[in-house]
Amino acid sequence: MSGPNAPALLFEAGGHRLAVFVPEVGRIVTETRVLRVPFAHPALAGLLDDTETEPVPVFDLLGLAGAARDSVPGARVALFDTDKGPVGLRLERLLGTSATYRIITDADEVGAARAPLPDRLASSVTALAEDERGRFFFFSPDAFLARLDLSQAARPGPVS
Amino acid sequence: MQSARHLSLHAGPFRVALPLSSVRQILDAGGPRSTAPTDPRALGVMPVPLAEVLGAKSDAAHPALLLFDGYPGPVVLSCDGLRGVVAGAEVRPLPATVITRWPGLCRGTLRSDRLQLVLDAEVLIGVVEAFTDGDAR
Repeated sequence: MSGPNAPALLFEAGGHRLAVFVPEVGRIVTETRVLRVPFAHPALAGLLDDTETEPVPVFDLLGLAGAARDSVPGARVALFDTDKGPVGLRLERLLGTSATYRIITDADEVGAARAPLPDRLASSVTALAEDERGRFFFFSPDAFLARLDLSQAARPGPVS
Repeated sequence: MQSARHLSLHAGPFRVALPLSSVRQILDAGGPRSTAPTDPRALGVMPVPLAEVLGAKSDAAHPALLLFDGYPGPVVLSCDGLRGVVAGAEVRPLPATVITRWPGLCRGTLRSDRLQLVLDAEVLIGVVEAFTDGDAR
């Protein structure tokens, strides 16, 4: 492994190992409950309902392959400031930090690693890296927001 | 920033607030003591479940009934429970990062005991019409 590099925060979200650079993370809070928003994108779980935090939309990457779960009390939510505004990402697990990763540049390796990712997640990751614990993708909250497609959002109509 | 009196209610999984001035009449407060007729012929108009309008299931056996001015006639919405009237709470706009198909529907949030979505009543009636007509499916 190489390093030291800019420190990265590693986590699992949507069943995938992802990372962001530590300075990108505003805060990490513990979810108590979220307020559901009608006709939202399926990855939008709702607004963080926490008296100590402004209402921030919480995204759940599991919603890219189905529907986001409603409140998951006790889940960790990483808060980011993006170009569009504040956004939260629900984490399944925090894996710690790393500065000893190496960026993988081999196109075939990167392509093979991207293949299992849902399309909208694949377009929201910027680089593949690995450290002594395994491989992970760097995740861009700005790219994620920019590529969300409202055609997936619910429409008025009979509820099944 | 705006503050006015809002009617706080829940409809399925949604906690919402509507400007009190937009509600023409509370026909029934719902709950086990409800006396509202269940036959739409007695009401004169078929109640529309707000939870279903918003895309979820209603879970009330005895819904509250709210009368609104619609077009071309009155609209009765049923909701799962009234929580009360919130006075003087500040309505904060939604962050731009809230990705929703109908952004005009949610005017913002207010906090009383818990966070609630403030709905725009005029837009809501439009959504109700889309729901009942099936035009927006």
